Amino acid sequence: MRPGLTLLIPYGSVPTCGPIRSASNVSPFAGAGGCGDGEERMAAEMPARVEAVAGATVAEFPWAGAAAAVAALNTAASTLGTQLDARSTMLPTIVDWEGAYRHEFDGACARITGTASGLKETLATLASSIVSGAEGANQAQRSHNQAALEPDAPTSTRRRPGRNIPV
Amino acid sequence: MASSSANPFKLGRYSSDGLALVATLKTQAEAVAGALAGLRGSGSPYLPALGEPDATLTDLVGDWHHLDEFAGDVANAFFQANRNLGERPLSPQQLDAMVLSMGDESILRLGHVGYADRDAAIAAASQLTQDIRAAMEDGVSADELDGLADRATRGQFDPAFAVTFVEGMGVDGMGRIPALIEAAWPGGEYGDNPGWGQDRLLPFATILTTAMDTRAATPQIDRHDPDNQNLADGDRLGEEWVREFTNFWQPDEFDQPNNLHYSLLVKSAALPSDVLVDVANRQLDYLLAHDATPTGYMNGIPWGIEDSVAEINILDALGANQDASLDWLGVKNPGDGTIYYPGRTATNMEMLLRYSPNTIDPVLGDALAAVVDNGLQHWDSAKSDALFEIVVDTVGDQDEVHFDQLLPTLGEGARTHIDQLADRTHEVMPSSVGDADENAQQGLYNAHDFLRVLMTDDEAANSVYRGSLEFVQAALSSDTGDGFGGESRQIGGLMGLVTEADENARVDATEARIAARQSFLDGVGLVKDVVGLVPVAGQTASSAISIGSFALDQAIDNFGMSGLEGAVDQEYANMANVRDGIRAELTSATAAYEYGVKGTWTSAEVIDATNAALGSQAPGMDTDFFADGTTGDRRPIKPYAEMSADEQRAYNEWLNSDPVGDAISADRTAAGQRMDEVIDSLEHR
Repeated sequence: MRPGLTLLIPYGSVPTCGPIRSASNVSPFAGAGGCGDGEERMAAEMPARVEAVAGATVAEFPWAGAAAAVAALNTAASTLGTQLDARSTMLPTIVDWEGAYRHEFDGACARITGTASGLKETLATLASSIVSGAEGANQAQRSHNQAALEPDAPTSTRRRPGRNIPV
Repeated sequence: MASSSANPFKLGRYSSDGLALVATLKTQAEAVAGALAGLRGSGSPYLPALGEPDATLTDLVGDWHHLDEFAGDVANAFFQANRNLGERPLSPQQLDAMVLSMGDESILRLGHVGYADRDAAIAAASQLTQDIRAAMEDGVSADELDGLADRATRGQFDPAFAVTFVEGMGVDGMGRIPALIEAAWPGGEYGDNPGWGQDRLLPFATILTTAMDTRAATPQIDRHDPDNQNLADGDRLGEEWVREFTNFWQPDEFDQPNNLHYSLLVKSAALPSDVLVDVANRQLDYLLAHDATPTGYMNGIPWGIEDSVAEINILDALGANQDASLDWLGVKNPGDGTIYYPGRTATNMEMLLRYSPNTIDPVLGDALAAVVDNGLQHWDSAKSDALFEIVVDTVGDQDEVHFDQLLPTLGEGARTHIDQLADRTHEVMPSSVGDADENAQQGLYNAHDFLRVLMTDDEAANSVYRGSLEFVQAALSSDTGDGFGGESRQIGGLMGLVTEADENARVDATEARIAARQSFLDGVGLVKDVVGLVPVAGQTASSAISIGSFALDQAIDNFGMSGLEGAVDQEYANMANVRDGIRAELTSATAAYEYGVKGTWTSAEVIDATNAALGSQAPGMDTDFFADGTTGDRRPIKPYAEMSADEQRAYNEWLNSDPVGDAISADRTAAGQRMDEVIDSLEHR
């Protein structure tokens, strides 16, 4: 497990749209969203901020806004996953619905479900990217801090050659 | 014909469960959008490219909302087609196993079903917009128009379709649709294809209705589909479009669209009340401010002559919306559209009543009357009462109405608001000390003049007398047992006003008029039966009314010519006889109240007083006018109509007996005095 990631969403079955007649009746939309492989996804967590020491250059990063965005993205991604599961369990309850309007419903349902599955990934990925950005900002801040704490470095670490002093 | 089948209970539950999920996701979409908007302002080099997942998520929420609504609309169609479904006691097993079938066309119509896929709805609306614009450029055949109308029908109830179409067409484009229909008229006279244009316009007007339904500003009570309340702001029709629509004004545009085309669209749509008020202000202002005579547009085809007058179409639209009528009548139109009229100080109700064109069109009169009726009969009594005060003072002031069609409507208005007319008889009389206030009785005078105008019309007069009888019943119903004086004074005052107005109208006493007067007297005569019917200690007239008002209710329901048994009594052609009758009935009601409600005498004392009044005529007469078979001190008085001739004579003698005279003289005098005061005040102004 990567640092900064915690287990959040157990992925369930794939939502399908269309009347479920029997096990052999495969929905043409099965697999929409492509997330039914039992893969476990982790929600990105913001690292603690490395503060700038006195005299250090500050690595600019919107910590509060990023934390809010990561939380919102994680929550939305989680909810999308939960709702996709919920909707997949709701669909069999309307198996009796047949006709032209049902057909239209199935088409729209498949498209939207596919969008939702992909979007869930997108949201989680963006949250991770923002976390990575925060880690990058911390890394930069560490460098800036180190530079500020160290005395002015000589131009060369090699001793100057001089009389009676062995090199 | 294609059909569908479903279990509507399961489908409805699926829809509501789905919408609950959408509501949760919508909140989170807003949180994501807000958070990312905050980050977008940052210049940090460590932030990744954010993309637009927030927009995608918001769009997804809208798509799911649309899809779940679609399933709910289909379920609703099944419920609409099987209205008793929810009332049947069904077991869970029966509910679970139920599958119903119905035609797809019926599902569309009853369920107000749109497209399942919001993107498909938007695409279909965009395509229809383009095709209609092309047809406006190139012309269109009747068959091609039918094709366009069918596509409009398919999406007419879909909010995404409607908003896309309406915004794509623009206000001017929407106004051109009736013109496009005109251009596709297959030929011949209107009578060859009556309603041809209206049928084809309807789906486009319904699209306008649906688009208006998406506004955030639309009052919830006006919303045709309550679920449109929860649309995202981006999915609603913009208020700027609505403002442009309500400001439309092209009266002389022969190249179209003109006010007629606009009015056809307004009439066929069901606009929210706030929008309709603004439309009516703009479209009717010139007419009312200038006493203009509305004229039909030259091209009556394909709308027919009745739909070819723009202002009447607008009035018809108002007439179909009671709330809009009420609000429009009560506002002072800013008068934006009127040349040389910078503003108004009068309400539209007053403008309408003072409106006096050179030519009186009865169809216009009917349209005006429908709007006035909506206002005066509205359940919001505070606003409706205020409108009635304006009506009384305006009609009283001008001493006429310009459209006869308004008279029956105003008569029914007077009936509904009869208590306000009675209140005007209570207003301060000129002081006998010091300077008299000349204006103190203006309200009473206006009430009289208003009623005098109504009394020129038999139907209106019937309503006024009927309202007066209802007032009598209401006065009794509010009795608290403290005497009949207050009630009889109120009734006396109102009857002085009504009979004086009737008399001063100086119209022939037709059979219908006499029947109204007679029905009123018969009804008031029942009052004594009601209050004397159940003489229980501690009762009030209101409790007696609740027990014995059936006859009074019937008298009101069968009022006038329709309720009269036998010929009219020509005695009542003379107003003096009517007034005598009213006095007599009020006296007997007061006496019955004294016996029945206050318990002043025992039954034996009543018979003694009757016999004393009859004197030597009493022996051998049946003077017991109490209900047969009853005994004791508080026997109910028999209804007057059921008394024998002897009993009626004995009863009348009892009313004239000394004990009755002593007990009720104050109340009787008060009632008669109030009637006389009102009449005197009106005759000597």
